[in-house]
Amino acid sequence: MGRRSMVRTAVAVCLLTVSASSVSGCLWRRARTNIADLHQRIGKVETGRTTTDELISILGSPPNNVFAIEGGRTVYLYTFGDSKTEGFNLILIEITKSNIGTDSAIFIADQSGVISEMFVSNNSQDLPWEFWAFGD
Amino acid sequence: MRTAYLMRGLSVLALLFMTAGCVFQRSVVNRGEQDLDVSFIRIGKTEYKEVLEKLGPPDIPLKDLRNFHYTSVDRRQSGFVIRLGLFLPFIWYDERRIHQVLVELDDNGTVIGVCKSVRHVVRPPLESEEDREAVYTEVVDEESS
Repeated sequence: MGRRSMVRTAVAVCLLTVSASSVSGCLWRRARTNIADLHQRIGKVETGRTTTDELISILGSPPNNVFAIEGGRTVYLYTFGDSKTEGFNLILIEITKSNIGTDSAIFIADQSGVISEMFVSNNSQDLPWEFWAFGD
Repeated sequence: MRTAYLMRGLSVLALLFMTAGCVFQRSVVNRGEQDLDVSFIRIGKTEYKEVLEKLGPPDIPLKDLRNFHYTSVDRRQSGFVIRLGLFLPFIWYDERRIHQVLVELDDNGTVIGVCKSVRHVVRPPLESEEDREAVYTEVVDEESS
């Protein structure tokens, strides 16, 4: 193999490598909002026993909102969520899809500061990874 | 000769970088809140506790317990893109709150109204406004419940 041929091959390999790495690929992206493991932490909260101080300690952060309601009770509101994006890029076409789940956790404390009711949504649980952006 | 070959190669590379492509993106927020069943709600009788137990807390953050708003959003985007971060102004998108449920409550936490709506999202420019199905809205009042 002559020197010129070797140079050509080397240039061709470089061009192909750079091209392949720059114009095609797959994508996975995940973004969690606020507390990532809130569902697991909420399992430790017991209605009728857990106090508001303990609630903040268990969940690891203050609530996103606090407001008073009828009967001298107080609502502690936490919001959190998850997002999963999958996609691919095949030189001339790029397709991506994001599945996003936003959740709220509501804790209602009685006048003595004990959690008497709690409600949690599950929109961010078991979000699927999907790349197909068409259809229903 | 070698210079000419290199230049040719770089031109091909530049063309590949500049290749225009089509981009299709979609994001769905809270798919689980599509088709929420509100048939259990009785105006003037059902209380907030039953609503929260059956539908869960609403995704739109509460400021009080006077209304619960559940939504699912669909966003579809199509684009014609040149690489290297240089975008032609050919990007279309449509975003709708495709499913919404609003539950209103009085000061005592009893349901006083329910509204449910469904919208249709299209993918422009592949689909036009004519392809959009009519908005469906249902208000559950005392008579129907």
